Amino acid sequence: MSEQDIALLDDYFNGLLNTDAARAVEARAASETAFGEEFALRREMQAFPRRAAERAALRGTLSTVSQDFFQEKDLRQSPMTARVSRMRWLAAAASLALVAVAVWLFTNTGGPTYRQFAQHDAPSFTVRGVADEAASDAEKAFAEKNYAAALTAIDRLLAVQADDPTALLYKGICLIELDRTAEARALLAPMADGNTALRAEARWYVALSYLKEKNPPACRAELLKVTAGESRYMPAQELIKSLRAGD
Amino acid sequence: MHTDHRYIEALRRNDERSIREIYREYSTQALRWVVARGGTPDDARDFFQEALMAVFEKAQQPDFVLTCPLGALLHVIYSRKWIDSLRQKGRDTEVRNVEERRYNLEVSDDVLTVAEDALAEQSRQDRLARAFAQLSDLCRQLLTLLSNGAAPKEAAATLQMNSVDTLYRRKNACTERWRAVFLEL
Repeated sequence: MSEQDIALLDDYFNGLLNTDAARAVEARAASETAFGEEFALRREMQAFPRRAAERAALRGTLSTVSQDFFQEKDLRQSPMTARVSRMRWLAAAASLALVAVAVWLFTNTGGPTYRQFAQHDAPSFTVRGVADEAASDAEKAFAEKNYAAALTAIDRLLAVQADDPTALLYKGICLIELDRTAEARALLAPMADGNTALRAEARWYVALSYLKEKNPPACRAELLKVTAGESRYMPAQELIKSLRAGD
Repeated sequence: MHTDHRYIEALRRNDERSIREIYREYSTQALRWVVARGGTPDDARDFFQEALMAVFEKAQQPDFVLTCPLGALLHVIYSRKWIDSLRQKGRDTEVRNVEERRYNLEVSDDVLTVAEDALAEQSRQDRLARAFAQLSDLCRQLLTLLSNGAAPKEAAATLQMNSVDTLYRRKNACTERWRAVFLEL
């Protein structure tokens, strides 16, 4: 890097060049590798002290949040795995009951119905501060099968905690119960395709939304995406069998 | 764009609620992985935090979009950091064991590329920070004032310099010193 180029970059980053000269520097940075690398380094240096403050702020947040995690007890079981394990246990128990119900129904009726398989776990929302009341209202309304009221309360909860996966899942369930199946899928499908702990739950309910629409092929296609080891694998297999028996 | 890109936005915004969600979803996996290899929960906490900081550095590129699952990305980064720490302690046998297992993991090229970029960016920022720390108090104060958007005249007055020209000359000298130290590291 020549002295002249260093002086040119000094002037550029001190804002001393006119518009044409500044554009010429940017064009050179885009077309000449060595000059471009020096330009990029200078830009990084210019932003570094400001970014250092942002970096320190994030590090502070991570330090605070991490105090609630990485505990010895988490090695035994985390709150999330506890919830998922509970769902898995309930799902397994439900699947056993469903085998009997399904066998009886398919020998006596024409095929599985949404209501036979839609057995929802009671929600337990993780909330902070102002969302407490909304969470409590949602849990109560859901337990009473008042899905319209539950949906309203969950929307209040989501207004405070927009990305809460449990709230999103139960909003999807409420929408299915209210026959707003397309809306439910729009909400649940990204979760089902994502990498969250509730992925299998979301997939299961996407499948049930199709079952409610009496669309067995779409329902089956979703169920086949639930893989062994996931929380809804057993019920999914039972429902697939039931769909086959109903064909 | 992967659905986990929302976590990138959360890191950019320093959004505690979403960051807490990241910990809820992925910290147990990191804890178990590190403890299973002889580390402590505190080690796991540190490596996980540094992995998130590496992702943050990558996320400073305005056009960066996450195209892979965050959990897989974090796993690759903290496992690399763990291996590096073993290497620094001279625990070569353990390094080989961990690396052999690493090659058996099914991780997409996309995840590996983003992880390597993030680690490289973090290393670069670390070098910049170390070089910056070697500057004089005046240089650090001056560069910080201007980086934070202070007007040159205002910065000159704060630093008791006679003119903006003096400020610029000093800034140029500080920048050149910083650059030289950075390139030597």
